[in-house]
Amino acid sequence: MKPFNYLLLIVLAINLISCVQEDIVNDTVPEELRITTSINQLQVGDVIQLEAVYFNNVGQTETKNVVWETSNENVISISDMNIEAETEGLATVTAKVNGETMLLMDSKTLQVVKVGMLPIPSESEVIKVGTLKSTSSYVCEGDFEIAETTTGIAITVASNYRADTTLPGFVMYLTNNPNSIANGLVVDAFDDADGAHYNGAFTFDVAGVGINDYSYLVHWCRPFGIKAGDATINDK
Amino acid sequence: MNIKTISAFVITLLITQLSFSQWTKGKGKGYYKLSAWSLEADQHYTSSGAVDPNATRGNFTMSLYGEYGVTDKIDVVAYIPFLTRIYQNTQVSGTTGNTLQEGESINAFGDVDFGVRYGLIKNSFLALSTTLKLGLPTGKNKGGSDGSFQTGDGEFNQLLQLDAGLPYHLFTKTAYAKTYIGFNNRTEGFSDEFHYGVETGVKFWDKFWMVGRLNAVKSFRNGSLSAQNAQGSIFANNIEYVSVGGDLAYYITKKLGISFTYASAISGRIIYAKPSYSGGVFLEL
Repeated sequence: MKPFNYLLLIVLAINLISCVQEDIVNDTVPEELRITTSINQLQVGDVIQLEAVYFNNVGQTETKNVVWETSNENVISISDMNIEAETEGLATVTAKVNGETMLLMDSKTLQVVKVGMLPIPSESEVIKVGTLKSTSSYVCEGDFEIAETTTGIAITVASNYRADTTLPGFVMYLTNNPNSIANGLVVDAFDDADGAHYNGAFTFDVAGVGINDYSYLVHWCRPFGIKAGDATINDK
Repeated sequence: MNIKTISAFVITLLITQLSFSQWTKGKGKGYYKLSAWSLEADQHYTSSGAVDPNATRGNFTMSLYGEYGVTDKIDVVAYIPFLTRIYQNTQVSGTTGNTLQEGESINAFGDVDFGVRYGLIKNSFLALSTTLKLGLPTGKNKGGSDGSFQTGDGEFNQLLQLDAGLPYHLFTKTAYAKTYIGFNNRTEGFSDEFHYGVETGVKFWDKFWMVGRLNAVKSFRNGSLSAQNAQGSIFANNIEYVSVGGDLAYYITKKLGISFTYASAISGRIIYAKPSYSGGVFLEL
């Protein structure tokens, strides 16, 4: 066999493994039904529509038929998609949906007060908290708080916040699947106009997002497609 | 993968392979090689030296390497990666089978190296030479949708190397040993580097070489480029590694042969943690 035939064979063999193939990502998460309406108090006579969102086993939203129930119809009644505040008191409303594998539920306790007694909501009341922790060899740590704003939410990281300055293509996402950013929302990124924030206290304003829309904050290496760390967003 | 790393790795692997670079060729003589080199990795050494996973990325390079003796003491050396392919696998959900991130690839010219070797000592006991290699930014330092598919580092570097080699016999077999040290001066915010390595080879049946080697790069960490300002480069700066590997080379005729090369980083920082393979055809004239 001529030398260049040897080379051709070698090139062909090596080229076989140089094609774009597929990496399988384990991105399964538990199905979830989440009441996303953040209101906690109503005044007698209010009629509002609560919203509950179904997230499938990869954290994507899907439309499902949600059934609402109330623990006390004298306080809060339910009709179609609306709830009505009847009299003063406490009642727990529950959303139910048939998931792919089980019945899913989420509940919320609402307080009904007299007309005119509804407190003016604080502009920056902290509702959610969490702590970032590394899931890799890269640095990812720090506490954070999330408050509702008039335009969306504000994520305030504490002075102990650290992202890894050596992580290539650093991006921080809000997501409903800690193993995938397929439906994530960029909060901070290396290629932002103002660059990324890596160390210390800072507030990220995220417009157009509800306080209950996402359940995880993650640090990601975008070019490598890997997670550096994550945090579950919890109620305060 | 940022080819700043890969380039250094490729160059080290390809240029040192079985070219007896401590010995100048002699006037009018030459060594030429056509190679295919491949590295595919789903894990990497991080900046702290730990091993972390990553989306599978690969680099496939076709190159020409040549050495030619201009005089008995001076060789010219060139490495031309005329086709470099950088690719990343498609990321697919194991739950739904849907594509999470499209795979991607680019094919382009890589960074050329051009150098001159000067023989300081050449006798039957010792060969000592010094080489100046210039790394030319002929590749693409940004490529793909996020700029991280690069076939070049975008900088002009100069590697000054000192090689020492000695022939010996392993039982009755012809053999050699060599070592080298080098200083790589890098520009455009990259840290300078210290290169060193050792190598030994044994010849069997007058036509088969078996070579083992260790190559290493240490960064001086004096560059300004970092992950923060490298705009998404995967391996931007301060790469380090210790790699071990070897060659198998077979002379089909007295002038023509084929070779297979294996190398793998056994420790490192900001470099892939998987082995590379290459195969080639060489010609000695």
